[in-house]
Amino acid sequence: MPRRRRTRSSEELKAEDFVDSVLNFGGEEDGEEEKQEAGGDGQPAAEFKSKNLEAERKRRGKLNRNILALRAVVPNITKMSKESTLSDAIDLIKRLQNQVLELQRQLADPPGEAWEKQGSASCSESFTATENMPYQGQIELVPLGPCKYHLRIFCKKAGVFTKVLEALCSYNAQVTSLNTITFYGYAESVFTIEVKGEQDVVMVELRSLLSNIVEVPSN
Amino acid sequence: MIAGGGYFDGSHDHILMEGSMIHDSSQSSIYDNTDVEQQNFRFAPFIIEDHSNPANLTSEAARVIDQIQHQLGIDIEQDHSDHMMQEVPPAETENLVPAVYGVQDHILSHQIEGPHNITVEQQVLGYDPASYRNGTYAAAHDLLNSLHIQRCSLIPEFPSTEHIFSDPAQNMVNRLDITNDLPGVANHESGMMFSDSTVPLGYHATQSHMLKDLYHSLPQNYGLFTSDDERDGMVGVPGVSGNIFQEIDGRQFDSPILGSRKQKGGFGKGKGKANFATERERREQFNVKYGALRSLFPNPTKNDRASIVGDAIEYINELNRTVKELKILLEKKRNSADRRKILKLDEEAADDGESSSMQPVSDDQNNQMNGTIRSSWVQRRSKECDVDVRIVDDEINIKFTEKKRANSLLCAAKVLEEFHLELIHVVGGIIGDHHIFMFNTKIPKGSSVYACAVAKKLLEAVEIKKQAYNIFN
Repeated sequence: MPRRRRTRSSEELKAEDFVDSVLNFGGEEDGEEEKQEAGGDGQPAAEFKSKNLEAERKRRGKLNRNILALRAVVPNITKMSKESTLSDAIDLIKRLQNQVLELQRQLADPPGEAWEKQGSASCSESFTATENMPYQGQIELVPLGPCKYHLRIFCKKAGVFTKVLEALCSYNAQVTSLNTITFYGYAESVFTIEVKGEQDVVMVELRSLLSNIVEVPSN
Repeated sequence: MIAGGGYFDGSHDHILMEGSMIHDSSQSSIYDNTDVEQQNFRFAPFIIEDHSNPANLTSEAARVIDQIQHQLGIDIEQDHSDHMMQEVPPAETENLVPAVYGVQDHILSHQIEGPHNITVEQQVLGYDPASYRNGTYAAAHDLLNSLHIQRCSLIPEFPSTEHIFSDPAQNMVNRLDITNDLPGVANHESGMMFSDSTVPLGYHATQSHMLKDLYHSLPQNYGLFTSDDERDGMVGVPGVSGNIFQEIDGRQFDSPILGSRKQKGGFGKGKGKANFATERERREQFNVKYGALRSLFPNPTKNDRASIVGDAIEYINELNRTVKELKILLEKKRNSADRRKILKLDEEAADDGESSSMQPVSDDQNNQMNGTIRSSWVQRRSKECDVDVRIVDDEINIKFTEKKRANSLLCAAKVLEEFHLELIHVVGGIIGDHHIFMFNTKIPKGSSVYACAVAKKLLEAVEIKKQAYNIFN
């Protein structure tokens, strides 16, 4: 009798594994029902499994929706499978990149014409501006606080903005705020700057440098 | 492993019990010996399958589960060939049925016709604790019967000429003998208790029997797949050896139950292996494609598949805008020759003192040649810098955001100067930890500036400045 019992118990273990697999094949709901029937211990396991299943379902849903959107963007779809969609997207991106490079090369072909035209437009514009009204650069540099200053500059438009910025950087002046407006070939800039280190000497030198850049007439 | 061990222990006991029956069988008549020997051939395929089930059950179930998980991930929009893959799991399930259900359940499953899915549902619906216990007991009966027949194979074979005269009447007699085996189970149980000490000797006998059964079962495996007409033809052929006749008789009894199960199992196994190899290749192919797609992006965000596909969509849209923009620029460039002539005329008119009247006319002509108004935008992002460039006709609006760092404004101004952009309006400052600037600039005539180039240049300038800053530190 003891031997017969042992043989039967091993067969029962084998059968239980099979039954679990069969029920799981039937569907997820069947699996959960079985877990609940098992007893109190089965219930938290079912909830944990359900949570993971829900997260996985969301992830798959998101991926499938993105692939559908990708299929809508790619013009010619050979097949409706995921692999074909990815292959077509890769081919399309490569083709578009090559097209962009080709167009860039065509645009860059005769560079002389563009620069020549640039010079022409600039000359005529400057000439017109100069002819209309007499030019006089202006600079105001007013302290606002311990290390802060208010700087207002009136100057010509061409190339001066960058030079002013270079001057400010050479004296470690940091631009806290900025507003620039241009009209009829002239520009007016209002800066708020912070300066660290020696104040008085730096400010005098900075004012001189800016005056030279802006071509302020010396009194 | 535990199940396998238990199985072999049971087989040892049965072999010893059969040893004690040798004396009884020698006293029987020749007719009885013939019937017992014939039963051995009839159940041979079942013996083979029983031996293989315990060892392979765990790995086989795991493989089936793995296949099903792969198939669940398959998109519904796959081709029809992919639907064939979904039919594999039920076939695999059929292969595992013998371990649980008895002969009666096999008959029921065989009688059900149609797709395999229906068969699985039938079994699931019919499952309950009561029948579960009965199924296990029925399985034990099958094992005992097969082991009993296995031992009888040692009896010396009698002349096989008598099998030539087999007919339906004799088949009926053999069928009745199956039921006679059931009372013998009680005798076997009593024998187990007295024969435990000699178990080790039986182990070697079991191995030799298994090999012999394998040898005998091979022809029947082939025969199981032949049609009924072919079997009848073989029976009628005169002069065929006795072994073939014995095998024919065995097939005739096995086909209703064992034949169908064998065929289904073979079909499922074959499809499973092919499916596994194909699925692995398919997954590797997917990974390669996702990697290739991601490497094409200028600045990829994340590494998961949904983000890669999303970035692909945005980048394709961006490339389409860039191509359109460049085509418009190219068209303008082709018209530049005509425009240059008009400008020359304009200058001549200015020299004559009639500039005010000629200017509007030239502007109108320029607008007509341009045709569509140019419009495009690009966004680029790096760890410390965001750039948003928008172009409408001949004006560019640039939003430039960078982590707080010295000289960022000078850096941006230099880039704009490289493109010869005229500053119209600049505003900006420090907000929190970032510098934020907005530039409104005008594109000079004849320039070939486009949004993608401006954004790329700004990012490169920031990167260069960052490297210089690191070297300085």
